[in-house]
Amino acid sequence: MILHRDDDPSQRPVLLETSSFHEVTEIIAGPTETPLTTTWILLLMLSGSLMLLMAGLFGYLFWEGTGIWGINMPVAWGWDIVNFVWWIGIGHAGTLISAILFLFRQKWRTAINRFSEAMTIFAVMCAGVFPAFHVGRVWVVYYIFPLPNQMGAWPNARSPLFWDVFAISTYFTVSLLFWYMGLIPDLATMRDRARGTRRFVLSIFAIGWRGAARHWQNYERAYLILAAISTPLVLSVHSIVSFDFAASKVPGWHTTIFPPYFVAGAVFSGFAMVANLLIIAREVFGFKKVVLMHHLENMNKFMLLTGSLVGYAYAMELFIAWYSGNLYERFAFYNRALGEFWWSYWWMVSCNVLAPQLFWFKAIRRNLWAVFVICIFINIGMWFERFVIVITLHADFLPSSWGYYRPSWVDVFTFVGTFGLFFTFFLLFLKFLPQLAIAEVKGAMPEADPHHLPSAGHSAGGAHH
Amino acid sequence: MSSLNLDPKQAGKATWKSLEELAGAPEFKEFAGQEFPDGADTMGADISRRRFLQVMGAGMAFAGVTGCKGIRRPEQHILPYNNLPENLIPGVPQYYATSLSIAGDAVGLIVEAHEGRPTKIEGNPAHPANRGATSKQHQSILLDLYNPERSQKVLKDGSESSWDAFWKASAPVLDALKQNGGEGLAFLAGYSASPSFRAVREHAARTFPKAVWYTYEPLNRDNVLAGMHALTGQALEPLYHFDKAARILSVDGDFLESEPYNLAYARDFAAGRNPDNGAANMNRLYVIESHFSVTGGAADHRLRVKPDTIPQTLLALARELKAAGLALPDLGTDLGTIPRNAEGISSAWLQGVAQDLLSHRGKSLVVVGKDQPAGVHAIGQALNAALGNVGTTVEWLPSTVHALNATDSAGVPENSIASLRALSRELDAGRVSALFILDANPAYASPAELAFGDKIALAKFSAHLGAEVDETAVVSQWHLPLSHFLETWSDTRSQDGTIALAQPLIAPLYETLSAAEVLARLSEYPKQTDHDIVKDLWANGSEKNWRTWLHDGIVSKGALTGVSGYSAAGISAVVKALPAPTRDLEILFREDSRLLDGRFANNAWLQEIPDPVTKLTWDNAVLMSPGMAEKLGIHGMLLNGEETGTTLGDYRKRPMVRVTANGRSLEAAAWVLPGMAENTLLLHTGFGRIQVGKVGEDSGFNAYVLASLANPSVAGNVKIEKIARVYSLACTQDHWSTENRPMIRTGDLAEYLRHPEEFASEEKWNEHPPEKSLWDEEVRGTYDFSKGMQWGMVIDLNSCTGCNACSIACQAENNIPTVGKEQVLRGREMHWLRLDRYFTGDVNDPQLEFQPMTCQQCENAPCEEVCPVAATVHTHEGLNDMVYNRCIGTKYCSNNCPFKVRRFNFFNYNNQHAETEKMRMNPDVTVRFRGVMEKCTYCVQRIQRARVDAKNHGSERIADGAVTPACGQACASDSIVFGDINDPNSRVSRLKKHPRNYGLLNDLNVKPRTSYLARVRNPNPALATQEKAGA
Repeated sequence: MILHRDDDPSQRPVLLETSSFHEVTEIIAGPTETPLTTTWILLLMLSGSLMLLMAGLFGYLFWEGTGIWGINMPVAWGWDIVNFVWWIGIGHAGTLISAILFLFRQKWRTAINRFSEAMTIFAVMCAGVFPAFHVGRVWVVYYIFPLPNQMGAWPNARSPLFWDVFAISTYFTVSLLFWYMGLIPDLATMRDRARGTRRFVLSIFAIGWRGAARHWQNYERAYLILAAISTPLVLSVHSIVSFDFAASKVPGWHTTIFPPYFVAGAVFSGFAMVANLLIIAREVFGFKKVVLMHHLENMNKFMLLTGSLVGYAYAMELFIAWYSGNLYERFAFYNRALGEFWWSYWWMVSCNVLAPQLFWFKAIRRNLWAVFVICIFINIGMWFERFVIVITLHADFLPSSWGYYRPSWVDVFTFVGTFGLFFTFFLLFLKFLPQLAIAEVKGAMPEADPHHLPSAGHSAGGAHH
Repeated sequence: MSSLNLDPKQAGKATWKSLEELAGAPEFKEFAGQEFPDGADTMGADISRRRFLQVMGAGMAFAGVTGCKGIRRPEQHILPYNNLPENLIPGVPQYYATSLSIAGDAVGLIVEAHEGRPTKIEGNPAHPANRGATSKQHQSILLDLYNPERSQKVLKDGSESSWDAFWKASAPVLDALKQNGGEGLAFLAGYSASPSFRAVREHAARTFPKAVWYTYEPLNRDNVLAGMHALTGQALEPLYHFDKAARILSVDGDFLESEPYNLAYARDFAAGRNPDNGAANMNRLYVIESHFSVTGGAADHRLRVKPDTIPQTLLALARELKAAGLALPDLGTDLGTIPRNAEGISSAWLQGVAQDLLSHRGKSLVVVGKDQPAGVHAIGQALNAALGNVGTTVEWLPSTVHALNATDSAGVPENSIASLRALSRELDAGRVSALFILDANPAYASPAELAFGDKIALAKFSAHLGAEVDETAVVSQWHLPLSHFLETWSDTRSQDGTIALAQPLIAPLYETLSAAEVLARLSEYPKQTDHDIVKDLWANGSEKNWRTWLHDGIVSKGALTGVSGYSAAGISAVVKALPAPTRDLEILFREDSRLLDGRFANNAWLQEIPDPVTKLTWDNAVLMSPGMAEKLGIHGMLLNGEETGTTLGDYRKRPMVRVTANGRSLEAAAWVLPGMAENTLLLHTGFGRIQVGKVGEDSGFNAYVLASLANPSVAGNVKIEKIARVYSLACTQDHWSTENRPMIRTGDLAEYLRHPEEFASEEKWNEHPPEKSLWDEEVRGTYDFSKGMQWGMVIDLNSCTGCNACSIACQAENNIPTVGKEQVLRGREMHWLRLDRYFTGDVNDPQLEFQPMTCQQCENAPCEEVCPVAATVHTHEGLNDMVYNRCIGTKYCSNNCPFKVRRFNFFNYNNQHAETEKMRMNPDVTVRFRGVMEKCTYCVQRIQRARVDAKNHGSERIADGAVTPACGQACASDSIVFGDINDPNSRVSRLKKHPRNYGLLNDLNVKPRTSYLARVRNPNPALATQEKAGA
């Protein structure tokens, strides 16, 4: 019934044989049509409270000033920027999965793309609140935009923070469009199944999708164009975020390795986060037929690759610090590994470099408990990576200015609160939108092959290609 | 209603408000006299929760009513001058000369006033005691004027009263005293430096012949006077001339910071320390001390000696000098019995010093610190005499503090402790019928052993005149508020005999009187106001002289005749009284370099400025050497980069110790200070005040608890143990090692003279070659820095003493807020100019290095590049400017600043000022709101003012020296030079070409406009080889 050739990985099954188009629609669109469950409501209340906590703490920040955080001189950036870079990194997998894997025709991505795109958007939202609120005078944060004004004052185009503004807003906009584009056929499917107000709302967002051949043609073309636009963004966003550090003078920040190393790290953490969420959703929503074990395994391989890249970057940083002969650079790395914050460095190395090495073993790659735990560690490790980088500020050029950093309770709970923001949106997404791309999943099914004949059976399908 | 008459006197009784008013009840008069009746604006301590909520509710309701129009700026009205005062141009400050004495140490000052508000204190260049320089205290005393917690009202037993009530109450007491000739009348005061006050005092002595005047000054010079008296039989004090001395030995004499006259000393010392004058003319400083003072930091050779071993060390030196052929008088002890190699005393060291002093007869100098016992002073000055230094490098002058404060003008100078004890005995015996304490706080600042505070109550009538409601105020029946010196007419005589006038800059803000006025009233002096008292004494009717003196600030320069003859008759007694060396643990009590004896404990600037050596703020601590700490198991500080215990940032958990001395014990935080003598502890006085304003509350530990009457400056036989408690200590610089980075460039004089060009060169100090710019530097910049005026600064590390006066001057000039201990603990202090301090060499006996660090005004400023909103930008004159309005506070500039000199307003630190404190602000400098970055501007407001002046005189170019930033103006050693580096003749551009000139972090290619002059040490070659061999 299904195409199956073990010796050719590209021909691995994307769906189990029992699925039909209708069954796929039922599996994916079905949960959005059922009444709200108590569990969902409780979870939403929990994450909603956390989100309100975050909002309250930003209100407190707005009222009192950034002094309620742990930042100081010399460590003027703290958890705020750590969290910002971390969330941006999390948000990285979405584009990669949507765009690059799409362009490479990796069909297994269909199981995870909607999920990861949604995650990207929510993670970028979580990231975006930090640079907006970390400034001392939030109420004039718009100065950073090139708005014509009576003072004739323009932003400073030499500042990486200014580049950040464009990088992140572009990324967010393109990701959102990409996500929404992909949603249109599915929204139409849901519209067709819905009645009343629900149907009205869905029909607005489905913008008149009829599934006509012309629609499909336009859709495919637009999707391809957006994928092409997004592809460089995968590289640019985190490269530019890394410029916040790399373009500065601070020893330990001022290195050319940052852009590729940040991109690899971002993909790494993004995949880990997707895997975590997917493993849960797969269990909770019964997507085992759609999200197959080997999808997760592929992701694990990706994590192994990017984790090793990150590990290589760590080693290269140490080597260059030593090889450069630069006094300050050498000390910065010595201090990272053995100084006051040594524990954060070794958290980072163990979580990011050592933990993913376990993915060399197939048994571990396919053991979802192990994968889940390793992915959690990867996310912790990537948070520490950003912490290690930011905290390098505590000891730079003049020993007289060296200081220490410890977060305040506000720092901690604001970070916790961003999970509230993330999960609130994620829960709403899970409930009200198709969690997997219905149209794409169907497109990846054997039935979607024009040459597929249900009666032709195994041999006919296998012969064609 | 149009004829509503607001004057109650003219309103007539027709508008009486109540029957009581109609009846003229005194209670009502008092009630009506207050604009807001009692309780209208204050909340009593016993307020109930319900009442609190009522008041708060009403407040919120009113806030709501006013808020109806939406959020808007509060409406404010400016009051124009109806008649413009003569010579006053709004916006242009006026300067008045005045003078000030702290503990009898007088200096001349020039005070800047904006529209009648004094805003900044500078030194009077014409006054010989400071020659334009100021100390931390001189800068900060301005804050006391505007302190809302200043004493403002007369208090009777703690409740509000009035001067009238006080005069009324004291009248019968004084009448009775006049009848009996003043029997039982006692006055208690600290050192005064005012001749006019002395005149009033002498009048009081005539009015009350049997009254006794007690002088208790915690910062006294009793030992100096007693030592000199033992040597010469007269009340003399030495005045040193460091500029004339080629070899200086300081025996615990912190003449760069805590000795009287230190500002002139610092200036002279710096003048004599110029390495370009050649080996013969650069001075060499030896210091023998037990703790680590800034003078010890300036030393070429420093010997750590336990306090009770210092006298013997000096005697051992005398023995070496005698052995080398110096004719010494009989020092009252057989020098032959002094061991040559006792514990802690290095005979080779002393021989080296002795040879050096001997070969510079008449150009050498022995300085003895005021806390050393009289015998050490006597020996030290005898050595000066024997070395032929008296009359050249040191003058023995009639003592000003003695002349102005002694009870009798001849004979043995009074001893502060003896005086206080005598008064205490009188009080105990119930023989004091009236006690007037004038501007002193003996209830706190005297050894707790005496419990003087409890004894004041034994006087039948007691009144305390003071600027704050302190420990003495609360135990006195009456507390009288004292005028600030900026509200007072007075005069001063400094140690060299210079007479200066002190004129007020502002009328008293509150109902206060000066000490002279109170005493004049009590003793019925013919003149009653301080103005008349001073003018009457000096002017002799000549208005012209009076005006000249007021303008110059000085009546006459010092004309005291030095004494050089001595008999050494009394020397034996004081030398025999010297302590013998022991192995006991000792604890030193020294005045804090900021709060002194606690009189500045409520001054936020002084609380927050770091101690020059320990870098502690808001607290004192028991200081001990690393070795001592090791023994006690007290860790937690970096030792040359090696962490020994708790984490670096763990200031909240500093270990505490229990120190027991003289039978009393004190629990205090411990702090490790490299360079302390072994078996020696140090606890600064001035902290741990009990009755003090909000600023001084809960700061530090009271050293007077441990001090004894027998010897208030040191205690022996001390027990110390670590206790389980911990304490937060706010230190602004935790790292004391330079990490072998080339910030501080220093070397020996011989090396400098051999290869001056190499001495501070990049090639020698910087392994890493400077980064090359990828850009064509010529066309890259927006501005051409080779044209016009280009500002730059040079800081001479060779003369910088690390005293921190520049930092406070900067704070005063630039409206820099204090942030409090909690914020300093978080690393958020705001000082634009900080004094970096490093220890180099052996951690137990290190050398001390200071480096003033502020914005370097880089030409390639890294901060400017990264600011997303262009809030920090360059000017065409090379300044790196902050645009506060534009700053959104990303803090990126600070991250990218290699010097970390930027300061951020994490909170709205300027929101908490009382109305009076707002008057202090310099109107030429923006008061920053929260959320913006700030930093040194090179005092751009002063540059602009000078530019306006220059333009008014038809010149585009500002003359060299017309602009001095606040830091450079305060600096006693003239270490900070500022000016136009494009002008080849300016001082700064000549210094920039000096071989010792170097820029910091040159390898980053940031091109700082501030550069440093490398420090040159002048070690004794004989000792240097020996020290090397020893190590």
